[in-house]
Amino acid sequence: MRYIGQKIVQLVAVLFLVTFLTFLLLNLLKGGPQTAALGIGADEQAVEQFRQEQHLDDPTIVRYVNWLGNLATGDLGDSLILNVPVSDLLSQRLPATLQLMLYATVLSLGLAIPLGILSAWRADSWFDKSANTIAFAFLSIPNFIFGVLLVFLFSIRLGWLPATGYVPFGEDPAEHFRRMILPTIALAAGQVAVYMRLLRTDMISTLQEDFIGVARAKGMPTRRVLLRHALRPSSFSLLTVAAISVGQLIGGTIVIERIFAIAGLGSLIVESIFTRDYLVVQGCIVVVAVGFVLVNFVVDILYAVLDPRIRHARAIA
Amino acid sequence: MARKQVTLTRSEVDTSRPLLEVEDLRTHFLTESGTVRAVDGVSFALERGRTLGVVGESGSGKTILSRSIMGLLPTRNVVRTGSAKYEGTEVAGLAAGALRGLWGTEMAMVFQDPMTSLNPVMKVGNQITESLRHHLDMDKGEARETAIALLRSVGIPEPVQRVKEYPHQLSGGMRQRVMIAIALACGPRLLFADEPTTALDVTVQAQILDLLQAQQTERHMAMVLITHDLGVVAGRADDIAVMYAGKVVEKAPTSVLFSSTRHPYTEALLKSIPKLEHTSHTRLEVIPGRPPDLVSPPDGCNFSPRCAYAQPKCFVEEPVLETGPGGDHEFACWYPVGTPQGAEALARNQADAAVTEEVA
Amino acid sequence: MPVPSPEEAGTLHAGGSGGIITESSVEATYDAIGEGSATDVEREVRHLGVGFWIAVAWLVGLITLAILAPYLPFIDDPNVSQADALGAAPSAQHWFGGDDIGRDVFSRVIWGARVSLFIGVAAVTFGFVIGGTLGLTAGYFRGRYERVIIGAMDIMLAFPALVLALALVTFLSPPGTQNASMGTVTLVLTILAVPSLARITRAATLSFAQREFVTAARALGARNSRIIAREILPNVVPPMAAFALIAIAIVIVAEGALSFLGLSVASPTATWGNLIEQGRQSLDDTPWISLFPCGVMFLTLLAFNYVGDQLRRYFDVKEAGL
Repeated sequence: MRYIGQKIVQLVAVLFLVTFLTFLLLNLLKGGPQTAALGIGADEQAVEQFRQEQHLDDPTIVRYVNWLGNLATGDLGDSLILNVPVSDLLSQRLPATLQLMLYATVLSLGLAIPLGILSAWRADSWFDKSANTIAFAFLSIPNFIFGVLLVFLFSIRLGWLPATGYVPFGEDPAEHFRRMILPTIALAAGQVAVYMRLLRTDMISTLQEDFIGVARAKGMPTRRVLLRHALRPSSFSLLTVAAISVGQLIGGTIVIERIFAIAGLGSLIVESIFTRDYLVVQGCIVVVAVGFVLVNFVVDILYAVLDPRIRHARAIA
Repeated sequence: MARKQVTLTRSEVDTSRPLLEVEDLRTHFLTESGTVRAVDGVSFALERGRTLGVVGESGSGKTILSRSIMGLLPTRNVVRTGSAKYEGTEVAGLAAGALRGLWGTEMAMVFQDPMTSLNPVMKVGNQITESLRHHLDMDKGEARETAIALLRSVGIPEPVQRVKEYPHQLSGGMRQRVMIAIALACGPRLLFADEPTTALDVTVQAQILDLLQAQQTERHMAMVLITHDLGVVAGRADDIAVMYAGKVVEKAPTSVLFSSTRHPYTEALLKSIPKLEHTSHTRLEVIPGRPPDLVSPPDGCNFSPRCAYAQPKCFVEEPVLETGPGGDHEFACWYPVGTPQGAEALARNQADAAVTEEVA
Repeated sequence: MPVPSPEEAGTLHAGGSGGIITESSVEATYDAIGEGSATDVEREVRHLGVGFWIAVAWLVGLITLAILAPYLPFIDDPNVSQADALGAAPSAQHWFGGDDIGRDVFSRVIWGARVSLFIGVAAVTFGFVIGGTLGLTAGYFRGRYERVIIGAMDIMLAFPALVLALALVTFLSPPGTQNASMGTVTLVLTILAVPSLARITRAATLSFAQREFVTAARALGARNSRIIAREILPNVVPPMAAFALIAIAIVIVAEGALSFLGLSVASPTATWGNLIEQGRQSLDDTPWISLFPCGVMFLTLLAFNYVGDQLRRYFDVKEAGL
């Protein structure tokens, strides 16, 4: 329990820090928050009025606290270009991105776990070596290149799958999935390689432990030894990496959504950067940052709950 | 336990031949630096209900021997020749699937380090029940009950509580008891105990050995007790085989081994045991020299470089394992301890040493 | 070890999910500097095979072409439209074909290499200067200073890299402009590279600082600065150099992603990223515009990763060898 308490304190601290840094982003901009909100070329009077309203002369901390208060109520300002509240935009676009990330994670773990186990079990075999080589190639290919190649091959040359477009799940589940296949693969490719290599290394190490030999000596079938005995301890590092990879995934969706014209958070970030809609950009960053921190927090807790060694840390002599 | 009766009845039918017959078993590992001859021609027979103690230093091959018999060796870069017959069936070349059928149900092993031998992320109870459910087809409830009974029989207090716990919540001695329970769960008839007490406190060691002995008697099991500590086997084994550099150098019933030791290595081992009668500051007797090279063993006897009795012949010709009068004492030595040739050889060496010292 | 640090994960390689500086591998680092962590049953490859030299040849060739591009006769001006190249398929005159406004794709790819390589090398160099210093001092002096540095680096590493890069590029560029300047991009990528490079250097320093020759030097009365310069630095440099190649690959990917999104150096300057993006519009009838840059970029990244990886193993100084 003390562990969880510590983690909560950490969480709060990091959230403050991250939101503060995001808040400061606007200050980086030449021209400051006024330019962010009003754009360049706004007339002097409007700018001055804005400065008064927003108390831009107050100390930074005060402004931050105000901003934080607004954030808590969901007020992130209004989009300069589209004239709608930023929060509206965010809630519209978030589902597609979340779906994409979820599918990619499921796919990559679904492939990486069996491949990793097999590679570890048959270390140095031809299977292992070829899997490793392919993984290396996938690690080296940027996801936007892979995305373009996928489109070229499966959409244009073969015509099997649509190149762009997003259909919400509610509207037409079949079409929704059909359109998500290529984006998911593009996003998952790099992940599979990372997970697979990690699991392989970890499991090779675990397979050398005494208790594996003991399990075999009990006459347990290979499958059981691999899955129930060897995979368990190794899965914890996999979990941690998966959490960290969420960050990579987020970066990936930005590019993938662009290629496949998916109206998600990633493409919103890019669009708003193009249109210099700074407040939207900031809003997106906040969502990403907070989401990322929360996911890591949940994983940390899960980790403690699942790994009995952590749970009973006191008991370790 | 109803199922156990079944196996016992079967074993009563086959009392004619030994439970385990090992003949010229050799296990060589192919490594970059050469072929390591870990086990180099070991033969013995073990009757059910009897205990064989296998004694040797690290590197003598005693652990590899047990693994070779059970078939727990790595698959690559290993050459295994010779025969090991369990209940008349050759196990030395069996395929993995067939071996797995034997492991746990017919032969089992208790490992050295209970800390690392138990899966840290699996409940203790599950580590026992999985054998029961896999080999004996028990359902969940029955397996759990059996596991609790097993834990009780190995002397673990509050077994109902313990089945739900993880290994790190138990003390070293208790963990080893759990290991024993796991090994015995499906009623094997041959148990290999590989240094079962080395990793434990001295006070706990005796308890564990007593437990093993009690279980053995109750289940009429054959046991191979592997250790580097002669003290462990002294009161517990029926026969003792002393191993050096992958070979058995002496094998005899326990009392005979201690009273009429024949091999110089065994004698040296016995001498190196510190005794209560010794006054304080008595120098410990050590065996001079270094452990044998298992890749390119010397011609002749492996022990000759370190032997107090060694004569020119020992460095050239490898001694053969002979059986002494009485038929149960085997030893491989040209100048055995306690024989006229041996005494003469020792005297000669001591005289030479004295001369050398004078000159130097 | 129950909770792995952010390092003890996957492998650090460029590419993949657009990750810039992704999880670094303690294993990779410790391998390079001789502290065994996760045991790997593979025998260490101590020799540099054929593949290695092929990769080196590719890199040397590309770098040479890139540097000499303005002077080589067969590399056309990347910004000049040529009538015969308009939408042309690959041919003898235009090896990679021509794009939609008649520019020679091959020369644009080579000029794009100039940008990518320059930014890659610059960002990693500056990154090592800053991050390397931080890491070196943190690993040598330890204590609270180290904890602060590592804490800060961890926080930066934890955040999704591309998002951070986008944010920085956006807010550091003058409000009116559409694209970032080369300088801004280099700056942003340097900032992104620093935390990883700092951690790697620190890990290497930690390993060496504990070895006997350092203690010996100290016992002889050497000052810290001298120890760092004469004992530690020469040992840290080789594995870091190997790692630098991988880092360059990562930065190239990052810049590629940024320019693919249109947020790096402005058109008409050719960069691999915007070449691929432009070509994407016409993948159906003139695929070569996009595919050749894809191919060249992929092979280059593969080469950097492979060479870096092999060198990392080659410099593997395990305890036994010392």
